[in-house]
Amino acid sequence: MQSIVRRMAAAAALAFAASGVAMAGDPPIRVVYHINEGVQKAPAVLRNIANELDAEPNTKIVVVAHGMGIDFLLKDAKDPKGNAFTPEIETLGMRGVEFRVCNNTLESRHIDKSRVVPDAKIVPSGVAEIAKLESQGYVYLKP
Amino acid sequence: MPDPMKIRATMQGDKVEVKVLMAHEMETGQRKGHPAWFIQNVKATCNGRTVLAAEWGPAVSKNPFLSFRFQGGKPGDKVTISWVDNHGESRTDEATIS
Repeated sequence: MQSIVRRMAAAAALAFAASGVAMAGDPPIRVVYHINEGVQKAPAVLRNIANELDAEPNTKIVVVAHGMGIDFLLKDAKDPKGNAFTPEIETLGMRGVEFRVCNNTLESRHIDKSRVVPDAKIVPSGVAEIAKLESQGYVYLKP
Repeated sequence: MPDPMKIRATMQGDKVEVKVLMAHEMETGQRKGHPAWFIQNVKATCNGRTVLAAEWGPAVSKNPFLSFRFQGGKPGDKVTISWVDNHGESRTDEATIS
């Protein structure tokens, strides 16, 4: 009788151990940031992303830009204080953040693809990209 | 042991573009209760040849990002970056050019 109790306790301990492993293996948090406002908004968005990565370094972050939101991802873009965005974009890129630019926007605003910074990827449609990422389990954030 | 650097080295035409993200507090020493603690020397080598040497001060931001290009590297070569701070702590990491 005693040995059965002991065996049950051992099984319970094993189950706990297994659930502990499962928790450590939880999929990382995935977030899509949506930006459709101009360069006056971008510094705050980039700061939000850096802060999120500071708090949760394993977060996978994709930034999808369309409309006026693509402006900070163009070469020579400057924030309202006159500072270039490139260092921030490259720093976040090194931390695993991906930037995606809407091609519909490039066409409707007659912006040449070559003006987009090399760290950003061009996708056919910004809104479709967001919907796709959300359906894959990305959390939607619009600062 | 300080956290590792993140290094990317890619060919851009005939030049190698290196991007480095260092993890460091970079305290200026101007804040009360926070003694100066910053990276003082940075060196980059490619296959043993020094391609960049820099002396930094407290004006460089926390978690510095460094980007530079050099000539004479090819895919497969190793780029090694090292820094030393004013406490004598150091870190060396390397990446392969792709």
